[in-house]
Amino acid sequence: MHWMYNCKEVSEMVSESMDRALPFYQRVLMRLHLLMCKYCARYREQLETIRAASRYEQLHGKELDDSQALSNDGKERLKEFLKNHLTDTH
Amino acid sequence: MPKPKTEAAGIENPESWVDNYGDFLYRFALARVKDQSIAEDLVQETFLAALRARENFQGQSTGRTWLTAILKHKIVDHIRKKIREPSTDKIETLTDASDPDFDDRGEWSIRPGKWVVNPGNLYEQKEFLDVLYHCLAELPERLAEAFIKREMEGLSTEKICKELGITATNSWVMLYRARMSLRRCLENRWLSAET
Repeated sequence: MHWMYNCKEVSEMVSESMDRALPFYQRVLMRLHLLMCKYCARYREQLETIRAASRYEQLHGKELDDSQALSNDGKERLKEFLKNHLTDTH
Repeated sequence: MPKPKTEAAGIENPESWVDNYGDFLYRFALARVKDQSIAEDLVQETFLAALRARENFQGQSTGRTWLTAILKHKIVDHIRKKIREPSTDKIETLTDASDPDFDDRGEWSIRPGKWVVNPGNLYEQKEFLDVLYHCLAELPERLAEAFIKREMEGLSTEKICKELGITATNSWVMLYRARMSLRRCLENRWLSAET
């Protein structure tokens, strides 16, 4: 263990901290580095933006265009398709 | 835990899928691929994959969420096929080569820029997601899969390890690589950076 992490190490820790709780000392040293290094701080913001956008889509789907819908033909095709595959997948 | 009757009936009865979920999935696909017949094909592929996997649906999420998760993988697969020439697998080898993000001392070789994204703005969201899907399609498949499960479906890493048959350490490394590649890709393609 060393107490000064470089940017590469911090970038790994920032990512890992999004998936599990880091050990206490790592967390402290990571935060310290983030306070001093604006590029790593930006990197963390970027990862959080990516996460927020990914989850946002999951939660709301608001961007979807309600005026769009499957055509009746399309629906028939899909129903037919499902019927044909029901037997061979069960 | 008993699951709501209607939801269970929804997935357990594939004949109702088109009426219950068809339009939603179609709109979702259309938002990313912008082509009606491709969107319909993707819905069909999603239904087929769902038919094969429906024993795995345990009502932990709604039927719609479950099907949407499958669809997301299909969308990324579709974009990947479109952009990747069959012979090149450059990205796979790139990750083995020396790290493009950091120099020998572990400092950023290209410094991360400041992203200007307004999360409340729907149009920007849409643009951002378009680029994100494109960048996902450029990742090695396994990395994209791990990322989608973690960040889009919100699964825990434990669950992802089980589904992909990998160790915890492995999952952290994969997610790290995925995130690093995605942020680099997003920065290059869209987000004008101030240094």
